[in-house]
Amino acid sequence: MTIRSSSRRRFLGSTALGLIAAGPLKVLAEQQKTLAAVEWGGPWLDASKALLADQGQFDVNWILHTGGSAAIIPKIKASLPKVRFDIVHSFPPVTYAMLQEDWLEPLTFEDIPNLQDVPANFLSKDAQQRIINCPTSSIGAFWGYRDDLVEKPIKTAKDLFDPKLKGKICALSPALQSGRFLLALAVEQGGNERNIDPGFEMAKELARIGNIGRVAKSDVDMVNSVTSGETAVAFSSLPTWSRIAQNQKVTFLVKIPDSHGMFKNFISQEEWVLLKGAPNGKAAKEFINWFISPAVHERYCEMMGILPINRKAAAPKRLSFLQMTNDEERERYEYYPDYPYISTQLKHWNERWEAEVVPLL
Amino acid sequence: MRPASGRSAVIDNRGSRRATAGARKVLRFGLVVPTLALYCVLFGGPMILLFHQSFSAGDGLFTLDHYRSLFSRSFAYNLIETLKLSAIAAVAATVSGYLIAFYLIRQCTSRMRNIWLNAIVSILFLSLLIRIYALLLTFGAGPLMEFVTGLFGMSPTSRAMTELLVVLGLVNFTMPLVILSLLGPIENINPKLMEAAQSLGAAYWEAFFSIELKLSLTNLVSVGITAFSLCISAFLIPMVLGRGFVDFVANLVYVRFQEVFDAATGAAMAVALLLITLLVIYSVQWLLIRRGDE
Repeated sequence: MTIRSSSRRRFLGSTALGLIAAGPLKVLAEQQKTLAAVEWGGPWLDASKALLADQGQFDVNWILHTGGSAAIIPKIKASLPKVRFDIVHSFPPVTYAMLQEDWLEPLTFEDIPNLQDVPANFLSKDAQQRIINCPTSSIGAFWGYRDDLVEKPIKTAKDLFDPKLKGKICALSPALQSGRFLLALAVEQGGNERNIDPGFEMAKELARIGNIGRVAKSDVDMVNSVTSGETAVAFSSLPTWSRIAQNQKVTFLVKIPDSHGMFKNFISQEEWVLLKGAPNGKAAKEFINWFISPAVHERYCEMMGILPINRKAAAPKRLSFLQMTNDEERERYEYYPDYPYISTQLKHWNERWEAEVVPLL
Repeated sequence: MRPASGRSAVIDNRGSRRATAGARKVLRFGLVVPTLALYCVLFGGPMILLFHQSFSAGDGLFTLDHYRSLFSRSFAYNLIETLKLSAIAAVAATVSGYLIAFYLIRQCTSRMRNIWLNAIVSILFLSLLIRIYALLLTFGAGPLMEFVTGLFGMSPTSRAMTELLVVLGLVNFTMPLVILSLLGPIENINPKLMEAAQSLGAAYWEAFFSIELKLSLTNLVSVGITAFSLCISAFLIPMVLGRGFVDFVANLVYVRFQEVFDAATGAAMAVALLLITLLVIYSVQWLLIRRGDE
């Protein structure tokens, strides 16, 4: 057996060869860069992965939101000035918080032509009136219940106080769904974002009589609680309800004529935002444009069970109950929360929840 | 050359001994330096940053505002809840852990002891999350628990049941550590002492309380304090088993950092939790030392 002796000349030669060989690899790597995209887990990730499986243009490294979506803010802040993510799947309060930090790259119709097919009222703008989001769905949150676990159909807010619903309501922590759970309760009692007290009073009453059986702190909490039968009545967003409805018969409380306001669709939207200084900015814009192209978007909405935001994409038939046929219906059964205002109040609402509602649970 | 006198030789000898002792000290300190540096980087550094964050008003300004939240109702309520449930769980884990350790040392054959020890150690290899979810599936809301709690006129989603579930989770978390920590101290107590007490007429339980338990007391308290410190800083257990009804201070800190963008208040709460934990531990130790002196 012989052992090859190493020498400086041999080392330099092999290094040079290595560098020559690495050249084309670098070009290849530049051609298909891996996008770093922050996405929600569960149905969001499943749908996005399914879409990507049928194409070869984009390679995406999915980073999952953990806890509330707002948790991405400290993560981005911690890594600055280095930007580790290209795009973030976000929703208005979180987008607004990122905009306040001046982290968002403006998007144009030239960069993302499909953005022109999105209704203008869903587009958010910065101080210079430049678009900073690309909506991916119009997504509401509303009340619903499992038919098999609720003896008497729920028709008004009063029904939530039925002793038979003891421990059967899944409440949402104010940090989740941008406090829309509290907002819905407040709207029922004549309040709104700026007058949230009635919402707290109703939450306290529900807690006092023992009808709240869980306070969900994530969408997964809510899905698990309702699916397992721990609770039966909840307020949540359409994708989470769609997930539950796959296995159980669910009644959605959206167009309820007798309701004073709680059983509405509390509208929000989901959107991609591009971070300033993103490592793969150009590829990220191409990805966003592809993601909301009519055919891809239609498939995404079908898988997710949500309403499309691109005018050219058709809505899933099973969601007809959420579609409003005229402005009067829209006015009566839809609520567009003031998210910039809510995002300034979440901390206070959360503290009040911990101090006033939790001790009564 | 004049020979050194006896006295100066002794002084020289002492001087060289001092020099050797000094060199030894330097060497010993030198051996500690890498560990100390690692400790400073991994623990000291982040703690300093946390302290800084809790006093920071941005732009290099100093404020005590973030510590106001420590006087809020929500913090007080959750702190009491944390201390109460942690104390219950620590006592339960220490007492039951002591009884198991005692049984393993005094009653078991060595073969059975090995089987038990392997089982206890294997629990530690199992992810805490899996152990918590196993508890949730067993004692969470479901037909069985609805039936059992119904017998006592309760609901499985009631606060009492939720608190019980959190305590069970904490006991599950700390008990293996308690048992393993108590095996050595119990083994070191001479079993003949108990036999002697019994041969002199003491009942078994009398001998157990006056000898075994008394001699193990210091170790029991130390292990109890360790269990309490682990419980007080628990995060995952109240988060999964607490149903949103039971939150520990660590959960409040998490919410401040991760969900409502208020890292400064979160840092102030974390500092307060650390100081409260240290206060409790040193108070108990001080009481023990005082009692020992008396």
